[in-house]
Amino acid sequence: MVRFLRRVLNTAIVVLFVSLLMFLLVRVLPGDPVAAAMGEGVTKEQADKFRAEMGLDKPLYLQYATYLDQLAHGEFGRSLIESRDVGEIVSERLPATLELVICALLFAVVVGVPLGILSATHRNGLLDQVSRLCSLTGVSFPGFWAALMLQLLLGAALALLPITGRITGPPPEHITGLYLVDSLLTGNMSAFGDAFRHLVAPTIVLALGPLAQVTGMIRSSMLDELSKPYVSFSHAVGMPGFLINYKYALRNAFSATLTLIGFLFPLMIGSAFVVEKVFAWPGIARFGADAILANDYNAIVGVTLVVCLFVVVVNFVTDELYVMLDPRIRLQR
Amino acid sequence: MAAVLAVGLVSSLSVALPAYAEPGRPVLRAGMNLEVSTLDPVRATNLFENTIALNVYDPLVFPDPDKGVIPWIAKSWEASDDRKTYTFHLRDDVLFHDGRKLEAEDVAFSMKRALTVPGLVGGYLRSIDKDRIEVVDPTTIRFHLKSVDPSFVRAMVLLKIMNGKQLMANKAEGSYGEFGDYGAKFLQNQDAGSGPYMIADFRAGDHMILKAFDGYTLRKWAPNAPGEVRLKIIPETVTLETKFFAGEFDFDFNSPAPPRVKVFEQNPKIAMDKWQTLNNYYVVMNTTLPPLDDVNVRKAISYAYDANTVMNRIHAGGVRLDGPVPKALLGSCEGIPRYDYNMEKAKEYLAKSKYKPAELAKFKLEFAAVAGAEAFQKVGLMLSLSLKKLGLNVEVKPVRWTDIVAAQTKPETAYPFVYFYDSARVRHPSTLLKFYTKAGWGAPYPSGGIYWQDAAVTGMIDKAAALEDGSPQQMALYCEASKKIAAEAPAIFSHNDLRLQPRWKYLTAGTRDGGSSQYEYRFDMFRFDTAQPDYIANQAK
Amino acid sequence: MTPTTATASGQAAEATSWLEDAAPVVRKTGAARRFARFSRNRLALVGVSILAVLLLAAVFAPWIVPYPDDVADAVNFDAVLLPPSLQHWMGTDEVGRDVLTRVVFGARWSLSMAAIVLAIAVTIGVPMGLFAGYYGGAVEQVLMRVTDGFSAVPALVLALAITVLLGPSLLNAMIAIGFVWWRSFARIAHGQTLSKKQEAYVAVARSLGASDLHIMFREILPNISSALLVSISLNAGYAVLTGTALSFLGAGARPPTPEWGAMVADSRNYLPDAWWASLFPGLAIFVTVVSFNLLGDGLRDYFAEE
Repeated sequence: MVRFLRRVLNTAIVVLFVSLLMFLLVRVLPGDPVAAAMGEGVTKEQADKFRAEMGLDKPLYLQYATYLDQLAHGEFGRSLIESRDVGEIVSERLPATLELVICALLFAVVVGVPLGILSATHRNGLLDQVSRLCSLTGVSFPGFWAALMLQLLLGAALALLPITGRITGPPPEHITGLYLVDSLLTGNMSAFGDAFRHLVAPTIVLALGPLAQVTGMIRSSMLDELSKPYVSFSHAVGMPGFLINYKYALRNAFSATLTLIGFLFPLMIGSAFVVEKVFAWPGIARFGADAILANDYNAIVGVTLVVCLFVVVVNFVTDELYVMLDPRIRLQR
Repeated sequence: MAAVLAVGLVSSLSVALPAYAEPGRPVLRAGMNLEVSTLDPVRATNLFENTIALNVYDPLVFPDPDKGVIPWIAKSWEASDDRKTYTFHLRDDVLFHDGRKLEAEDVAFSMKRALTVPGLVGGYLRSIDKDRIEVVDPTTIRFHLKSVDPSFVRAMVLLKIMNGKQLMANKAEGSYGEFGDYGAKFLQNQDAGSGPYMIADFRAGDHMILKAFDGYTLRKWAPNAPGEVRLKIIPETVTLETKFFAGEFDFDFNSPAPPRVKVFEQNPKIAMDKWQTLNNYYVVMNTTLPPLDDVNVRKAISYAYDANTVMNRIHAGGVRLDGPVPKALLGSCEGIPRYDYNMEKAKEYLAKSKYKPAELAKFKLEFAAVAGAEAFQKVGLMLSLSLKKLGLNVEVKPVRWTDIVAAQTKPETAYPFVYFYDSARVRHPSTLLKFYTKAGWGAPYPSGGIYWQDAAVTGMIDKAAALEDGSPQQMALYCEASKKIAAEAPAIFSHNDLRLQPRWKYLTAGTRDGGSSQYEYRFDMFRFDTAQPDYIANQAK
Repeated sequence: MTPTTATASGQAAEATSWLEDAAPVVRKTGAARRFARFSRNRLALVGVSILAVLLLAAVFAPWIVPYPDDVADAVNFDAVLLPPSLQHWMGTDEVGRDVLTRVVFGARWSLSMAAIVLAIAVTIGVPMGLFAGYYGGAVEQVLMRVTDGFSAVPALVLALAITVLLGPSLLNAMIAIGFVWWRSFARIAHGQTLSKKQEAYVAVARSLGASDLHIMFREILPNISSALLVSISLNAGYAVLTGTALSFLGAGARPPTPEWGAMVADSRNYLPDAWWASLFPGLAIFVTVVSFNLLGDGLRDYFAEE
């Protein structure tokens, strides 16, 4: 319990640190927030008034305190590019990104884990060679380029799938904001198919790297496990091979997958900044990329903080699960 | 009264319902490659914000490419003898989308709002005395001008009439005193207009759905006009064009780049309308910065600019612009100095400069190109290449449009070079010439940072303003002023571009310039040939 | 140290390591044999060879490209978007420049991107990790919490934000990515130092009265350098990917810099017809990253044998 509380505290410190980091970045680095905010023909008086209104004339530590206070009330401030509250934009766009990232993560795990296990159990076989090659190349694709090429292939050349956007027809009734889930809950199968088709291409691009890493890692940890004495012992006492693989491999795969999710999640959110842009995906990452490029400083802070929060929470949860699943670690602490 | 109520009920209902195709009336679908960041007609700047504003709101007078303006919400108007007072008589049958009748109070409200809320509309209307707007009776309104402005009536096209009562009933806290936020919050996802379309659904960064307003009285609805307009934001040009060819879009807002034109022309299902626009493309030079403060350097640069390549190879064609005003607005005017691409002449003028070659080589001049506008970067690359041959260093810098606008408001921050166009929202020489007088400085847009003046030019422009509008004497003065300005080369006057508009053949869209920027995109004038098989197939997509 | 991130990054680093199984271990000594041992790993050799070619291309670019003028602000509107031919092996781009020329020159930018990013990241990250691991206690807590903070925002996002705030340019992109990237090296240096500081030679050095700095930088650092080297080559590829992504988004290279990401961004509007102008720069990125990964794996196996 003490350990758990400590972890919660550590996580909170990380989030606080990121808020400070972002706060300092947008204020200390060059680039005038007033010019960015007001744009067209500001007089000096208007600019000063704006500064005072925004509290930009106060000392930095006071500004930070005010800013934390606002954050605590869920106020991120106004976005310059969409001229409304950043919190509102984020909550509206977050489900789109989550749906995409979760799908890509699922795809990477569901395909990568069996592939990694098969690779390891059929070491140096044809499947192993192919999957290793794919893994090598999978992590090396520039995401934006892979996205463009896939768009060309699927959309322009073969006309198989929609290449941008999240849905063509009316979206399903809003429950969770995840179209696949909402359409299933409401039994709206046409919306489900529609949303699914839109998800395919961006999911593949986003999952390319993670899939490669999942496969690779599962394979290597399986190989480790299979070379351990107790496995040879099980073989010796005549346990069927598939049972050995199942028993040791899968338990191992679970914990390995958990750590991987914690590691891959921030990577995928990062890649989403490029992928959503190319696929015109109406998520928080595309907004974030646009906001950063436009020097929209409330939005920059808002988006990074929300992303950070998710990363930290996912890490926390996967880590706790890891500990729960693996008694050795639990005992160690 | 009952009728009004009924309309109000119907329109509020249709706003409340999610808007998806009602059977029978065609749905117009198109992609937008820029974000729609505001629905406020006063703040609208980019092509799409503007297009939405002019479909949702109506002006007192309507632009007409031949006649200048025609009566619209105002059925007539008259000017006082000194042309400083204008009285507009309004129609009494115009309804707002909430069913309320449009009255002179709304016009007064809209004018005050446009002059208060920052935005470019206010810039065009700045001759109006904000404190002397008179509501004579519910159908009569009078404006007083601080000084004579020959472009005043044409500029009224930009004033979109807003539902003052509705905005004030929904005002939020804001910095405009009794007006609160002037309705800014309300306008975030809905409209307060009287135009042919109503905003039915808007998701920033994603899509916009407009629905036909059945209570519209200013033009009768044709059965094959779009009953609904669906606009999707597609930032990537390549995706946008792919969707257009796939039949997901009926027309394309953007002229294809020259290398892509043949792809459109070769497609048998696609037609391409072409028309000459009055968009003035120029490279504005910051004449307060050395070495651009030297007229010989500016002339040399003008000669080093290959306008024909810019016009025909980078853009999809057009006509050369001599001086600051397009020929179509200036009438016949002989003898405007023109700078045809000539590197020899460029060298000659540079040799005459007060700066020595070694000094010139030291300058690092930035050329601001609107970020994401590929053609603009290419123009910069081309100019920097030929200026390098002259010994001048130019760096092309992609800058966000809003940052350019902000920088151009002051001579100290204005970029040495900015390439941009002025879409001639107000079709009158005085609007374009004013930028070369002190009175026109610093307006962020559309002058874009011209800080050049000349006493003789200012004199001519002021004198012309007092003359009868359109008179030969006035035009002669404008012609003289143009010659003088062109001779001093405060900007590189490039061209007016040719608009190429791809569309599916079943659609008739705008086929010529609409008389003011983007008025060719009044969707109520679009027509579908609903019998064509492509139409039927595409509507289902 | 939060265990999550520690295990995660440790395991993930491992995830890219398995690509080439270690060749049978035959212990040989002597410097001359080291290369032979390394080159038994054929894929690693491929990676090194490609990188060598890229480096040569980058250095000698002005002399080997067919159209050296096309690197800078040359434009030729008579030769826009020509398909690949004998004159232009990779075709021409949207302003008529030779794509091959620009791809070759692009190697300069990508390799310097990798070099500068890694130099900054190692300079910041390794001392942080050493200090944290060596001193432990409060120093470790503070330094590793800062590292956690930096790790909680995806690298691309933080680097993008810093680049834009510094002012979009390729150099600023390099600085920003470097400034974000140090966290990987802090992690590795920290973990390695923790295990090495228990070793006998550290105790010996300490008993001889060596200063803490001496122990950290003269005793421990050389002993963790192999792990760092592996990590540097594996990270080089990701740094290139991040750098090109920033340029693609418009925060990095300015026109007319022949940077691969910017080239894809500029020519993507002419897809699908003029595919060559986007395909080749993208392939160049891909090949470079693959090579760095092959090299990293090769190095790892090599050191694993030792």
